[in-house]
Amino acid sequence: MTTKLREEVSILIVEDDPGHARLLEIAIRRLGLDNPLVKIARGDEAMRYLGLQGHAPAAAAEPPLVLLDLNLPGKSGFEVLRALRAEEAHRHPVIVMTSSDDVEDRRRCHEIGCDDYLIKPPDEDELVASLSRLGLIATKGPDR
Amino acid sequence: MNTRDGGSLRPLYLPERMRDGGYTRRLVLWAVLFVVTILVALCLLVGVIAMNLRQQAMQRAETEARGLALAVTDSVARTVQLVDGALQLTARRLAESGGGDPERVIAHLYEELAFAPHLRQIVITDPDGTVLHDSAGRAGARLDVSDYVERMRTVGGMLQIGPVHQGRFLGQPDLTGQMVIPMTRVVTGDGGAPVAVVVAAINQHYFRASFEELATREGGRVALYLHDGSLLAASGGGHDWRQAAHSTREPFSERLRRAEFGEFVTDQPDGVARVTAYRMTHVWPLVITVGLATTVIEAEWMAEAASMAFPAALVGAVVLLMAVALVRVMVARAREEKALAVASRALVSVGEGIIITEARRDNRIVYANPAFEAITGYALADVFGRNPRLLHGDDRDQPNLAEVRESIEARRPVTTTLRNYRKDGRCYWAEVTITPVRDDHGEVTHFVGIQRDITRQKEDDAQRRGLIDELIAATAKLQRFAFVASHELLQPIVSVQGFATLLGKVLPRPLAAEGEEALAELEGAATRARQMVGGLREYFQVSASDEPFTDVDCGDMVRTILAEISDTVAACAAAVEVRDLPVVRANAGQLRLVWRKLIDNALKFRHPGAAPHVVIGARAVSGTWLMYVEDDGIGVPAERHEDIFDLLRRLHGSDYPGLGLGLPTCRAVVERHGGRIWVTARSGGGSVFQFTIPGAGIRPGEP
Repeated sequence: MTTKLREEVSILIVEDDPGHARLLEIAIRRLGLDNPLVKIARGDEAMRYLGLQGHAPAAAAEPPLVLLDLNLPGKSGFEVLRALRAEEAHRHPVIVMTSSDDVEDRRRCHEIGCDDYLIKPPDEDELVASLSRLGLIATKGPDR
Repeated sequence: MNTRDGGSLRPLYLPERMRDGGYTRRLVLWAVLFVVTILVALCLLVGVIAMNLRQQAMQRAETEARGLALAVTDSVARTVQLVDGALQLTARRLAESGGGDPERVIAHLYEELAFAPHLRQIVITDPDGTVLHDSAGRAGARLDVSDYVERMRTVGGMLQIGPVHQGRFLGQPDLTGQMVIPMTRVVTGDGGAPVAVVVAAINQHYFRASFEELATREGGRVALYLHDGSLLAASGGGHDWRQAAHSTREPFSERLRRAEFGEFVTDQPDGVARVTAYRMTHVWPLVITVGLATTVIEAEWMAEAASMAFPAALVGAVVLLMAVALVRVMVARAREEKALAVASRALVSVGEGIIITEARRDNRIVYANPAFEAITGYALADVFGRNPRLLHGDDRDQPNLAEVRESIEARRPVTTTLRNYRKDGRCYWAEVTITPVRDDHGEVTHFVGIQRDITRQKEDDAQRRGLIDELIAATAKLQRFAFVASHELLQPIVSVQGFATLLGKVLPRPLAAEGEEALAELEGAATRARQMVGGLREYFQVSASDEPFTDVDCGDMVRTILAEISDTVAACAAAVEVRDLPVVRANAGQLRLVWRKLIDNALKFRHPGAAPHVVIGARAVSGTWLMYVEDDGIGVPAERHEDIFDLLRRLHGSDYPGLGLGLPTCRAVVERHGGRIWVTARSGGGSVFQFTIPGAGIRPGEP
């Protein structure tokens, strides 16, 4: 089993498809992480929640881990990412989770400044490796 | 059609009768008819006059002949009378003397006939023919007087003349060619019985000589006949004196029975046609004919006629020459007119509206054809004398009008499109051509304006453009839709994948009978679906993209790609050679896609177990760049060279798994850039994929 994510870190899933959001949620829970998890379905809502573009930030002092889909209503994932990275105060770890394996999208995301780019449906091993790379968890013991 | 007179401006019109081209032709016909009539009349006149002259000549000849005949008759009559007188006297004396002493009678006779130079011989015989006295000195001879005696008995005692005796003297025929005409009186005694016969032989030559003198005109002929038609004397030669009486010959056959004198025209014994006058004496049985040869008369007549006909012919010739000249001019004119008629008919017939304006008079309209009225609603009467700018109404500031004005000023032809207005105010689009018309000196005298109503055409064009725009918009919309739809389709497929995998993880093992199989199939199908949708999405994204073209350094791009897939390259120990690649103008993202796919394929389809060798390069071909990716892998069969780029074939068939829709997408990208993509087999095994990016503006040969 893996160690938990640091307790203060909340997880923000920005995803419009409820099925995908649920898959992600299940994957995280199956990893043993029981951090508070917020699901937001719209890009503009996400920006408000994160206190981007003039909005007052929501409660959490520690920037949450953002699992970001690219295809969102309201504002697109790219715009959210750009906004996130534009405000240096908010150094959120962002993992882009998208169904698109388009190399262009990947490149653009990396250009704008995502921490990782994963293809949906979420693969648990990939997720662990990514979180590990980001220093958010430490793996301990063998995987299932 | 003269419009050059100072004040008045008259419209150009093409008269109906000239338009059909037959006007001058008819004139020509009339002219010819006229001349022909004149010539014919002239000929007739000359003919009539000539005939008249001939008539007159003949009549003159007849009159002359008649006169001559009269004169001859008188002369002959006198001669015969002289002889007859003497013979009568002698006969009486003999009768008185009872035939006793002929010598004395003879002496008297000689006295009487002293002045008769034509007398050659006198013979007196008794009734049975014994010569009692012969002045030619052959007394005692015999003379056949039986005929004379016989005739005296039947006809009576009067002078008997003839027949001609050949020879110098009676009773002695000789063939010297001299002839005498005997004149005989039978002397009767009491009781009427013949007692003696007195014959006087007249020198035929005497008559002939005087006849010759009279028949001075060439071909003239004077003859002396007995009543029965036997010839006594005649002018000219060639007479056959042995011929019997010719009662069938004129005038003996009919005329003498009707009239004692008259005229006739006929062929005479010597074959010459003559105008002949005849006269008969009753006292003695003589007929005198005087004939004048018709040929001579006619010759004279013809000379006279010629002297009249010659000037007439001259006049006729002059008239004919003038007529010919006139007709030639008119025929030429008729030809021109026919051409003109065709041209004018053309003007009237064409569907284009045509106007002619006078250049020097503010381009006033002097002619408008029927099509012009049909198009504009204005007839010639409406626009005559006005400038064509009336067609534009208030719409004077049209952009093309400036060009028109300029061209007219510069005396240059111009074609343009204008908004014109019909008489009823309706606007229409006109394609107008204005052409200057020059005279012989090169001066522009008129302008010809030709217009076509192209309103419908313009509307059709606009409609067509509209339809095309709609079509393009609809296609783009469809492609965008396909792009979006494919993305949307991805979402449930992703969910299926995710939950299928999850099931695999959370379901307790072992699963019921086909459980594992079901799970495996589920995951497999979802994966395939995802690949397909992903490929379609990528394909439709090509047309949906509106990123601008930029300058793309292909060398950098390819090296970047190779860096990105360095793991894969290392894993198959591939040797990739990148040659000089150009900078091209393209959609960077899409071009990257093409390079990526081609390179991926080159590595993927290697010979298993062998290290692939890949060459990437480019060369310039007539102004475009031809890029290539060459590999020594398993290659593509020749029959598949087209299929692998075909979207539908790729969707349908699965004989090249792993290829996906990559190549159709590459083709979509390349074609969007205006180029071509294709594959050829590499000699030695493997494939060469080539594509062109045209319009790069780089000269061939430059790197």
